Amino acid sequence: MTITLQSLQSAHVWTLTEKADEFILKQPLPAGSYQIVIQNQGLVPQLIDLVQTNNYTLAPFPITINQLQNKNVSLIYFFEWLNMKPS
Amino acid sequence: MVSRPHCLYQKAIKIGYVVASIILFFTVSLPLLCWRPRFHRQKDQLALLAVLTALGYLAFHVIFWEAESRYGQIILPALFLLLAALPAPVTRRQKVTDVKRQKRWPRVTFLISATITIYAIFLQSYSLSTIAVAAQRSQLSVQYHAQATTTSPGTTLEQQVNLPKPANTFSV
Repeated sequence: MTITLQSLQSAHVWTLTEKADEFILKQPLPAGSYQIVIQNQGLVPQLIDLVQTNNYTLAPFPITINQLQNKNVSLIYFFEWLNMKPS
Repeated sequence: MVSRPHCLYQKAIKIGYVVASIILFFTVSLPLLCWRPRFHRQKDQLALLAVLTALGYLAFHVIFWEAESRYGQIILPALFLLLAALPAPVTRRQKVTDVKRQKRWPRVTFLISATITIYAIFLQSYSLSTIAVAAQRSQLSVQYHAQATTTSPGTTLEQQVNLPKPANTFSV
């Protein structure tokens, strides 16, 4: 399973690394639009954390699963700014 | 390191709130320690009720439920009530000459200010350093983890995200 993050402004693609039970990218990301792409190219089914509701629209942009949009489902993601100490 | 104005404002509020809470806890705990309840007084009955409510509530969360810092906020009214209901601390030391009392106060002030400083430094370096930029969390609390969905081989999931501010850590 590969997870990539693509900047829609610069078309730059970053690949996330697996750490414990989540995928992490530690990289300065400027403000803007990004596309998260998850691909299961393997032969076995994989488990992904999705949040799903019956009627509520979740994140501002809907998830697309195999070109099929679903606005009541979203990936569970977290962008944060960590103040790292200069070392 | 970034020092954006809204970030500094958040820090100032958080540190100010912690300082105020610590001072409140000290001012309530001192009369509580010296309290000799006389239950024929209505004020003391009320104070005991407030103490029992606060302790029972905390015990419930610690022993049976889950403990999170925000659950503690609700005992604030009980603390204010205690502040109003408890008599000023009467200790044997009050009869001691004023000279001795004057010597004690610098030490107490030092202790309190040291605690506050340590807390401020702790907050500064740890919990304040994370700012969520954009997120979608699960409907379950973090400690229960989200329900995983199975994706069959060959599936592609895509989702767009807008970042209003720069970020440097991203996790899925």
